[in-house]
Amino acid sequence: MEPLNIKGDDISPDIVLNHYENIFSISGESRPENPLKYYERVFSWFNDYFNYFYVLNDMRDSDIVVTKKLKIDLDYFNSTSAKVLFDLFTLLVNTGAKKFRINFEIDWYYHADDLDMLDAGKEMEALCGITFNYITKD
Amino acid sequence: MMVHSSFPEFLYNHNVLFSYYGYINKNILNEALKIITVSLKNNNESTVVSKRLYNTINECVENIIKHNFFPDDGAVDYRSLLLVSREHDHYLVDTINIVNTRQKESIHRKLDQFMSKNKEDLRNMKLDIISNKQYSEVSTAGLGLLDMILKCDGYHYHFKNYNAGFLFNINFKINSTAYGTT
Repeated sequence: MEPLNIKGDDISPDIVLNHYENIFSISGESRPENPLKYYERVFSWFNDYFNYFYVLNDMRDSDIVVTKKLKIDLDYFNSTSAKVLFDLFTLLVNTGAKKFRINFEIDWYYHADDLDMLDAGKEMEALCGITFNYITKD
Repeated sequence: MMVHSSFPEFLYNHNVLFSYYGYINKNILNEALKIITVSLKNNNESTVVSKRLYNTINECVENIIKHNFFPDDGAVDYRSLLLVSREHDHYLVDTINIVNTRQKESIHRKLDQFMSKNKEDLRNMKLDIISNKQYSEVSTAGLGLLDMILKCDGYHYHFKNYNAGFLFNINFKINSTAYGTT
């Protein structure tokens, strides 16, 4: 399976999902024309990745549980993107962790004085039941 | 509320950071956000206030573009107004657009429902919409409004008869001094 690289722009985030290099990242600004469509490939990639991981484990006769980190470094996301992010985090918990033994944690980046972004992360964490690590940036 | 006073009067009494009257689309929104961002940066506005303004402008305009705050009576380009101004210790984001009777009732109902609730209830409503399993434009229609209401320091709305429809004016107030504006 191939890594996913989506180059963003002023309104859409950069997305890098590279399991070979252990980089899982969404960064920039998220208010695309159609967030559901924009993130469609992300959902699809993670579903493929879970299956890939399952097959790999099966071949190795292994039942190890691994922990990965998804970096969310967004300067801004609109309300519709919030809904899509929630769905993505839910996928990571309900499918990744519960069915395929891949625990994703969220590295949630925010500017130290952007308390609304910090609150948004805490709301998501409470809502999704996924572990968030809060990381300040300059 | 802007529709109560004349437009020249409003411009005279407020420090207008950005105004646009015409057909509003994503390009206009992007330009507005760029201009406002530069303006706030030049004024050394705090991150929280700058981002709240950014969010309010974005969600207001997206509501006009996407969420049916727009007459559905054919391919008519109705003009809308976006105005961002500053008055002493706060900013105001005003939009005016044309709605029909059905839309007026729907907006009225939604905003009245929001006004009857405290912030905690509104926050729970927002989280309910976000965690609703079924994604749709309809299910997220109120999400932007809720988010703006939760982050702003006051809002007003007003309808005024206009030809066969109504002018819908909503404005959001965002305090600046509480967050240490320089």
